[in-house]
Amino acid sequence: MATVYTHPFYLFSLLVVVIFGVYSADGFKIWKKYLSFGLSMAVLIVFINIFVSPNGRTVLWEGKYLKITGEALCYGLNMGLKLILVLSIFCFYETALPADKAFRFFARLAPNSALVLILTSLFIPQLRRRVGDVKLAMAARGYSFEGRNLWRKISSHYPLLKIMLLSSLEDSWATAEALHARGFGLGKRNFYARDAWRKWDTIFSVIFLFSLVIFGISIFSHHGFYTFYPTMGALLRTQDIWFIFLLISSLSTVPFLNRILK
Amino acid sequence: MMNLGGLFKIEQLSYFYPEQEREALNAISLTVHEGEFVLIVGPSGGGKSTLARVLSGFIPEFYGGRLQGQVFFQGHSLIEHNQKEWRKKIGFVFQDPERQIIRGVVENDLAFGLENLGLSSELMKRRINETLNFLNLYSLRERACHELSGGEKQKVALGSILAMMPRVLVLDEPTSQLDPAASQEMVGILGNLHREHGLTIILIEQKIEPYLHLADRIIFLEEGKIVLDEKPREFLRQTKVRYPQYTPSMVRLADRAENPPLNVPEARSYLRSKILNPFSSPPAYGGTDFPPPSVGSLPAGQAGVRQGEKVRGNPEIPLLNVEGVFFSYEMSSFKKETLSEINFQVHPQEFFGVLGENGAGKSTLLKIMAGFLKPLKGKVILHGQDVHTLEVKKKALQIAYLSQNPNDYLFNDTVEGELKFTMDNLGLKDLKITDEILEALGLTHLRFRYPRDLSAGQRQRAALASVLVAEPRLILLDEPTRGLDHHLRNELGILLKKWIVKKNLTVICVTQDVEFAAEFADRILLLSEGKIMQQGTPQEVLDGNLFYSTAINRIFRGIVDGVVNVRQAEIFLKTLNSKY
Repeated sequence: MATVYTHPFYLFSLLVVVIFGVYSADGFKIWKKYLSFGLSMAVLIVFINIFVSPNGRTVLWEGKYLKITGEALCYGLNMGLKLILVLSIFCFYETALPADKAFRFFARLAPNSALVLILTSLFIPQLRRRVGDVKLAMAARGYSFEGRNLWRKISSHYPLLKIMLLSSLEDSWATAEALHARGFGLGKRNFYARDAWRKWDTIFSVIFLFSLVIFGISIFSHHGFYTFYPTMGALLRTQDIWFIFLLISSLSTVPFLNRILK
Repeated sequence: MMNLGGLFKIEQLSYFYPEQEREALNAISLTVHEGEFVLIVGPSGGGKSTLARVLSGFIPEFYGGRLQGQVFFQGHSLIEHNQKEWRKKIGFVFQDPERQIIRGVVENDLAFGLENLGLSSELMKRRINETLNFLNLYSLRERACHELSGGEKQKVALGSILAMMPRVLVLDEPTSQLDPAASQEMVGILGNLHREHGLTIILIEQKIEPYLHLADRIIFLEEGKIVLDEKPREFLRQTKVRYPQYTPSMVRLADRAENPPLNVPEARSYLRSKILNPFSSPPAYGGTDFPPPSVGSLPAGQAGVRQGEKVRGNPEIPLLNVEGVFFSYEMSSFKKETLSEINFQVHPQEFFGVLGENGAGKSTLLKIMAGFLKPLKGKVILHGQDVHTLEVKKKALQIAYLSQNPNDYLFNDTVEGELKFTMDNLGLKDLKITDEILEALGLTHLRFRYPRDLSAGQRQRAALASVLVAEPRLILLDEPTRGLDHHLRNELGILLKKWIVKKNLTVICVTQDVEFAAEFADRILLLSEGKIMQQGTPQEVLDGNLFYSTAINRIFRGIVDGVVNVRQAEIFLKTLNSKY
């Protein structure tokens, strides 16, 4: 939904539901970290969009080489919102579904993809630590990642990227060896722990299916999309309010019940 | 199938890694019998890990390359063996526990291998419970793996293989990243697995001493060839003559002993016999432990054994002053502190060692001293200036910081390029220094080689060269002996000592290697759970400890106090001989 919808109200509504989900999974503290990263990236997107997109009829400022339009500004803001929503969904999965449980669930359907998923979840914190270590090593050699302009700043990260790429390749080899040592991929797997299907799982699945149906209907009836260029379209129609209401109420039932059941 | 009379039989094995013209293993012939404990030692790059990977079935199946000769396991050729059967029968434990953990929770990580073997869930449960209990991990079964200490992680890695119930366990330096207490626990577990459970163990190690009493045979590999394959005592006799640089300290100590000692009690027996009757030939070893002659402490100044704190340079003016440092990775001071109330001084031309268990805060302290982390409270003063206020280039010119992983430094096309990169960053023009440093670190012949293709020891030295080229006054080293063999480790220590004098340097070295610190440090600081436990000379800090002591100290304990390294022991014995 987050990737298909372009209407800011739909996106904002989904964001509210996801934040509620994160809150119900006690992941608010982690979400704040995602939000700070998301906000900085959103600001970058807004700036890039208003500087590179001359489209739009509502001119806010015009110079010799540059034209800033209200439509480009709003489009950038909407893209920033979308990014924060996607990051919040990742955060929700990280906090609501432990990696081991996710592996157990998905490994029955697609063991290789599930393994990639779990290794990625283990790899990201290691990668973050490693970036920090390499930056220290570079600083110890008098290297600065600062630059006078954006291009210099980006290109100054070349040694870091090269080391990270080389080290990641070497580390992935070590991980592959560890997998081989544990007999991965040598035949049919069995599962140590099995999660029982409870009545709440059925209820949650029905609610989720209902949300998917609403989503499908909205797409086929061309709702949830918004036109920014050349001029911005009407913001809300009556049907939009209904779709948003149904989506919010159905999707937020899951975190709401989760909170109550705790 | 052939009846070959051994669990493993290797005949004239040579192996070339893909696209390599030089063989990693050269015409190796070897038989390993069921229930044997085989220790494989030798210089870095000698082929130890390659041989371990052949025995584990990783080569050529996983690595590719060209293999000549024959490898048999239980009479079956390596080539015709089913990989799943091979994995069930031969377990492989790697050096780095971080890289072996696949799942997030301890219990699930142990289950991963069993799930891959397709065992029934009842059998998995039984095996996991047994393994958790055997390794004393039961209370940690639901803990997240990333929350565990280094020693616990390595036990989980071992457990995940043991649960698969292999007949042979191949281990590649399993203790190299562990603190002394965790290392000793691992040695105990391996001994138990071998003696009580009859497991065949093939162990690759840099340290020989802890395993001498466990090993049935010791193999010395050099340049891909087996140059020695003997029982421990005969192995020690021969290395004393042929490879003295690899001789363990307690054997060097008992150099006149007919039977080189294999453990501390045997070495103590030899020492006592020397003290009681220096003219008689030492008695045969049999674990006899007669009452200590109580020679007591060596008088101050005698035999080079230092009494009290000895400070090099001018003790009045410290080079580095660590004042009341508190640090926490959580931004709130109410959270658990990684370091608390750290106060010490380091003087010019000192070799200062920092010891402590995994997670004690050693590396954090080093980063604070390098000015990379800001303490919550307190400060670090270098030459009268707070290191945290120094800007990057100025800092690099004054402080060389070498982290645990040399790969974090190496990305240029040549070793020389690494040095030039630092010089360019700092605006240094005098190229003579590169020649001098490459020469001093034994890297001249490797100056045009791609640094990441070098051996572990060579990479360590290339990374060190890349920071030394700035000619700083203070060198901060984090675990510099990790992955280095006995000979390279000594070479590094000697080199640093030489440079301390030659270049007027000061070295602060964080290490788990107690023997290295005892041998080369002027003073040692012992950290535990972020607090200073003790600081002083190696004698003051290491004498009489349970884990943070050296083999030499354990040999001399109760006979002569305050002897912690080979140099002191040798001088004491020389003095003893000259007396009579």
